[in-house]
Amino acid sequence: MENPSYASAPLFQLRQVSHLYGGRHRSVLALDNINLKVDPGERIGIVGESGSGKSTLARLLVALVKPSGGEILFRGQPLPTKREALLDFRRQVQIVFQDPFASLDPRLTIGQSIAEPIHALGIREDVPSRVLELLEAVGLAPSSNALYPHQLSGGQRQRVSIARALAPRPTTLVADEAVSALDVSVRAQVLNVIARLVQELGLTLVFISHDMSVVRHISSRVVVLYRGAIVEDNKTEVVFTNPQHPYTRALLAAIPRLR
Amino acid sequence: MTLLEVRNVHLAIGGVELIRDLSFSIDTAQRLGLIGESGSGKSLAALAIMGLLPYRSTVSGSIRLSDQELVGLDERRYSKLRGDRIAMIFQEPMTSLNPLMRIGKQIGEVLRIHEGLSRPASYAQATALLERVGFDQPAQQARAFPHQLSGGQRQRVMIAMAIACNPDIVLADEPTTALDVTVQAQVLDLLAELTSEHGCALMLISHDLAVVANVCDHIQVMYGGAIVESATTSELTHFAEHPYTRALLATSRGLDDLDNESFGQLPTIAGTVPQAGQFPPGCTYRGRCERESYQCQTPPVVTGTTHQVRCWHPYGSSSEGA
Repeated sequence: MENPSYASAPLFQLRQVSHLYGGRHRSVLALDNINLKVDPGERIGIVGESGSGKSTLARLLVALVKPSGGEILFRGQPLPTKREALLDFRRQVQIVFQDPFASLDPRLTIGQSIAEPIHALGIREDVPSRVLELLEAVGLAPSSNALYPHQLSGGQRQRVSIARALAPRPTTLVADEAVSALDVSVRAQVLNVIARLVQELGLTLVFISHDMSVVRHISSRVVVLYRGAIVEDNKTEVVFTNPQHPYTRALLAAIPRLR
Repeated sequence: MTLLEVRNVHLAIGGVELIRDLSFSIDTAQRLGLIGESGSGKSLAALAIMGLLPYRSTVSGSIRLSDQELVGLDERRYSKLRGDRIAMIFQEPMTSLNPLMRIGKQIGEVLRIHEGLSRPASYAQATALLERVGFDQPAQQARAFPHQLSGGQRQRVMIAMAIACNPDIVLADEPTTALDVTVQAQVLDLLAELTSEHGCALMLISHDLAVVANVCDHIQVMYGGAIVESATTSELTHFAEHPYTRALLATSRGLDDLDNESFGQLPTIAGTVPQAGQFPPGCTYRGRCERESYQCQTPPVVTGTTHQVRCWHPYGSSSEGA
């Protein structure tokens, strides 16, 4: 598939991607020979336990780290490295991190945090009105604009992180354990915000989580990672009704349920 | 037999009332679940029992462990109870272990202090405890520092420390919230197994109703610093009477519900938990409640005996409104 046309190309294509952390003496193979295709408009859930390589995969997809081996194509092109092209890529692909306490700058107001990517990515637009629009989209009061992160609850902070990620109008959202640090009741609220916005804006969603029940709800396709390798990749209902890999079955059995 | 009895406890920090009229008891070997959202006061309740409250806290009421009153107990006597008769497991195993001490020595410390064991004897006992909590090479792993262990292993170390002196009761505050689901299941099983082996009571605190329901035989729901409903696990999960408990159950079941349209909107609880000290007077759940009336401006009284509820308009114990 040389020079695929822009429209038919998968959004992301990972070919034999590996990633190694560490130096000469001790190193950890976080991802081992991953092949993965993400189509535009897909909602893909990536599950696995701590150390399975989920977060490494998220960082690779948003070009925060470069793979040690293999290649990652975005719309048929290798991930950019030069500044201009990287800025263009970041306008299209954004990420929400797990810890809403660590991922917001405590010295910036909520409004400044949300506006930061608009300035940093060189987008010309009426910033104050865009910030208000984003606050409304994630269900926060316009008055939150002037507050600081420590004045908000975990759920509210995660809404801010989502608003910030959506500020440059990306086409793709990567969520790395975006609801894992939240209480069950608040988690449902934030999941509702993500689901509504993904639908309204027609985003491609890569949703990374260790929680199978969350992934079942939010994604149309599930990829199971185990020790840096993909052990299962199928439509959500197939993975949940007929899991093939023993590890997937163990993950399913571990979900605490109310009888 | 009643092991721990909490009676009319009020707690304020810096003049802000955070726990109001908390009363409950735990029997010997009972497994009690305490659930609620962040800010409901559930962790503070545990810290009050442990006598680990921050400065500027004022406590009134009574907390009795067997025949000993804990409210106002001096620090010297309290520290003899802690780790010996009451033990606590915290949420974050990375910050609750000493990063500079090998885990064998760290577990042994509690045995040296409370049981007066010698260094070698306490170390040997610590190694045996590591094996009990599922370490496959306890002799080698006793020499590890906390950073060399995974989150699940660190929480197992915390469990080993908690059960080292065969306490009467273990308070576990969100012990598995920082862990993956698979590890969470293992750690909960271990906690349940080891406490019941010794006839040790367990108070499990969590925001996750499903987690608590799988381990505990009795559940209490906390909101705004007070217990709003208390019943056996099966009673509470099937015949909840308080509107808040019903809302919590609905959010917990939302993700499990296969009929729920995938990617649709999940049930949530309207509004957010108010900030500390900003709960409305009267019923603290006012403003978020679907059954609110003028009557809710006065604090509701607790009704029921085995199934208690603090509400003016509880759902009937039948299937009404379910």
